[in-house]
Amino acid sequence: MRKMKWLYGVVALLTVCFLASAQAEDFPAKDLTGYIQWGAGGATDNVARAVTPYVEKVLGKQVILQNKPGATGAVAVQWVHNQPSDGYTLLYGAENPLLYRVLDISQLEYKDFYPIALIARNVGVVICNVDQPWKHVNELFADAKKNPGQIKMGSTGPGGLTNVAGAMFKAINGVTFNPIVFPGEGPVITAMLGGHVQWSTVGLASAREHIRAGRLRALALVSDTSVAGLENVPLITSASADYKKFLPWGPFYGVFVKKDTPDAVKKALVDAYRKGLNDPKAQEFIKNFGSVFMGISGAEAEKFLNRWQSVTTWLLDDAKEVKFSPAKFGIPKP
Amino acid sequence: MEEKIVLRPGERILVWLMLAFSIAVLVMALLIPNLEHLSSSGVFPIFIACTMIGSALCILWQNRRRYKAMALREELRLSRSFTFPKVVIGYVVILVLYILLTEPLHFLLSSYLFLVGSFLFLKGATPARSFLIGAVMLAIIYGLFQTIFKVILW
Amino acid sequence: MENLSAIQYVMMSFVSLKLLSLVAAGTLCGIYIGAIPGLSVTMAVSILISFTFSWDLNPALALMIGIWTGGVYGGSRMSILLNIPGAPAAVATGFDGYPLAKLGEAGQAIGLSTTASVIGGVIGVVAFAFAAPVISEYSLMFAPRDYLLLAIMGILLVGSLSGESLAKGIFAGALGVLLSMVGMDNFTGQGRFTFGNVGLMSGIHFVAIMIGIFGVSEVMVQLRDLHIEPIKQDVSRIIPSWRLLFKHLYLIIKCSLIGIGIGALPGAGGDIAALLAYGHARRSVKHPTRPFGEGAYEGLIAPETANNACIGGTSIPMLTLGIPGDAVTAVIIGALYIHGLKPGPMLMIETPHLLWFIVGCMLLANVFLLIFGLTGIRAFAKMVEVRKGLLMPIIVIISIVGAYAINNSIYDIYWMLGFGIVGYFMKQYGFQVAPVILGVILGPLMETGYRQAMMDQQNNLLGFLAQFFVNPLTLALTLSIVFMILGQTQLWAKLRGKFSRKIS
Repeated sequence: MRKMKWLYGVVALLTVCFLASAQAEDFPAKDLTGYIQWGAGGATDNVARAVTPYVEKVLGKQVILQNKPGATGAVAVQWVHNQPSDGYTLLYGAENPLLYRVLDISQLEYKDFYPIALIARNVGVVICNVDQPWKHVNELFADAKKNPGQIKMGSTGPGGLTNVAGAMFKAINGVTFNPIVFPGEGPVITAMLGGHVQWSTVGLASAREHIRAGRLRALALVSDTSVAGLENVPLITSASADYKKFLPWGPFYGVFVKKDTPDAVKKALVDAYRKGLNDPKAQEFIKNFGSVFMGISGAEAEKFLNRWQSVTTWLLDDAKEVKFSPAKFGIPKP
Repeated sequence: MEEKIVLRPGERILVWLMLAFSIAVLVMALLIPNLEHLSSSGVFPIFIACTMIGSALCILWQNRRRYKAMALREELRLSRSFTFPKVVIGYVVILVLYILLTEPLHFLLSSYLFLVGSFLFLKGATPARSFLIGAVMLAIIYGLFQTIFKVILW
Repeated sequence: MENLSAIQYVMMSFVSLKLLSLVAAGTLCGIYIGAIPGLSVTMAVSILISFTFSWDLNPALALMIGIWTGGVYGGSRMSILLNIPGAPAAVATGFDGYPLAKLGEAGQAIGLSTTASVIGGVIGVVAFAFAAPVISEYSLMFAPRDYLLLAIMGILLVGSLSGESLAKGIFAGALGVLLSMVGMDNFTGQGRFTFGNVGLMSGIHFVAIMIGIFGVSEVMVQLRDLHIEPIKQDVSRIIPSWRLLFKHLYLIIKCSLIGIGIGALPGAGGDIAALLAYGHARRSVKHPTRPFGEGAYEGLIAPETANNACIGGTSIPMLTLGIPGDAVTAVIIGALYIHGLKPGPMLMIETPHLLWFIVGCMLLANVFLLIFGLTGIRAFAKMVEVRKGLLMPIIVIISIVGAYAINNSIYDIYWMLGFGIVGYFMKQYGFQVAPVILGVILGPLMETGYRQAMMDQQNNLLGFLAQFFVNPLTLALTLSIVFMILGQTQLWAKLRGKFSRKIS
């Protein structure tokens, strides 16, 4: 009799397992987990936490968000890659993984993942302290030509937005600066407000309010199209038309799953994120946040990622900021 | 004060090990590439490694008499009971077992075994109570972390 | 008219039952979140964001501010009772709080830390309300070199925390700085002491080190004398007398100012404020109730006032400039975005009532802090009286889950337990563990400041040194460090002794 009870237990367990696997067809059958590759309070974290609730409404399940920062996000990328490819584990990432291989941080990158949605991208803006004489980015460049390597540039470290933009300026206008590294855009802006660095290129999201308040001066947008509310800020293409080949360029935020996730699951997720992101409130947040809505996925997103990677890695290669040449990984020149 | 700290078998060995560790750190710090400027990656580590070596040498020098008072063999013998009493060894073994088992057995089972095991080992409660208290504690922790704080335990 | 509306906004949370109860609930939860190592206010607030995103802004803020205030205070509890700081800002609280618990005065210690926290918190809020624009301009004046000087000021505390031997203290402090450097170097992307391991690239989280080296090592030391009965806690007198508070009023005010000032700096937070305040108390109080490190009330009051005053301080750059001073304010800024506001310099101009509403919530949170902090102490203090064989494993399991919760990483558990064993060895052989944490907290501030200041002068050593004398603010900091070093009489005497020996 006891043995029979034990057998019933096994049967029950098997049934549960069977049911669970059968339910994979109507995805999602349980709550999902989203790993954010940056810490709480960062831009990636803000975007992830602001838009995910709208997606949850569509999915009918919760997406439990967890911060897993470390090594510019490589820890989270590695972690998600170690999880089963069932689509229940999502990666909320920024642009950084595209640089992992050339910077020798990790062997994984977005090639190993499938873009469910690129949510938004940020536009770079060249800013300076209002006490500085420059009114247009050309004046800054002229000054830098006279004093090469002297003007203090706030930097966010190798592979960061400021350094890539600096590499662009060096490649096209041949100007060099004295970069002082800070642990993020916030500290760069703080130091600039205090006059401890003279200029920098940061994401519009973190600089826009300071520009609006007249505490920082915008010298140029690293973009070939203007941004609402900042129509009078010159575009970088006004310094040289050669910048066109790099644009559009800027940090972005997206959601990814492992490449070998079943297609049906990928599709379910893509649809849910598309619907969720198109919620007017989510759109309003993205606009408020000073970023440009993207809302692309799949092949279209992969095209964007590839171009971004090719532009950025080769720029960094020119600036001698990479550990390995992009050629080693077969990344084409832009 | 002096008498109170005179008997501390094993201290000399530890300080020598620390010195060796500091020297290894210095070597690693020197191997950090691109040591070009005063603001390069390697400068601060080298400075810190030197501080560690300096202070370790200083400790050895300050206590040279005290350390000499004991033969190495004697020191080793005494340090066993001083630093490694049975209960500490036993508990470290339990901790190591927990570390080894925690991933394969997952959080709930391994932690339950750990809790009950340590209660019994440290004679904190009778077996029946140990099983009960362990379960209650785990339920509280699990509820608090996993359910309320959304910390997904492994 | 305008003043009237300001008062209305301040009072808003006091008169609305909904807001009142949200602040109360937040404060209560915050105390317990803060008390559990590994659970942080940052975590709680970021979870709240997804929880409250459909709410109105005001109730969401009320809840967050409650949790924030409660959480910063809550860290002190475990520091006092078990020598496990619930949060980095509570490290300094344990220096004298834990000895007090060992003397059977855990109840008084908690009572005193509660009142000190509330007074500090209120002073911080007042500064925030009336001086925010001025303070935020001053905070911008701090250049990298000044942060370096602040870090040096903090690290000088090693001198008074090293116990029997200064050399051992310096070794421990340097070890801490070394640990803080493991991982990827922000400046160059270069891995340091990582052995090419991705897990090590992200560094060793300092909360894991903290829980291990304070908490687990203490458990192991306690195991040695398992048979000794726990100390009976005297819980008859919990609320500190007015006389005691009045006697230390000057210290409380000074430490609150330290808390506000450090908090307002975008590059330094409550942990550094508490350490500097503790250092200040050690230097300035000539006749403490007991020697420092053995249960001096002053050593408890100073860090607790400073870290709660820091809340008002860090709110200043958050609201006036939209710049986060630490992880908590970064998350709150994110919440403001999500609720449709635009944090930045225009926030105070476009929505001035927000400041007054936050001020009101903070004041209210401090009221509740006093209430919740002073009730339930008895039960907490009695916790220490639980049989060690039962209490110790529970502490270990909470430490384990706490270490995991920092980054959802099992590696952090390994580190935590590893440092528990390291801490045990250190304690056995007359090394203090506090300098290690001091090094871990101040190391990055020191290194970043040093390297930025060096880069500022394009790696010119003379230019670097000259910086410390050019600007009045920097000069003042430099001079105060010189005086601190001279003032630490032991060192002064030693130097003088060596000097005269050399001459003769």
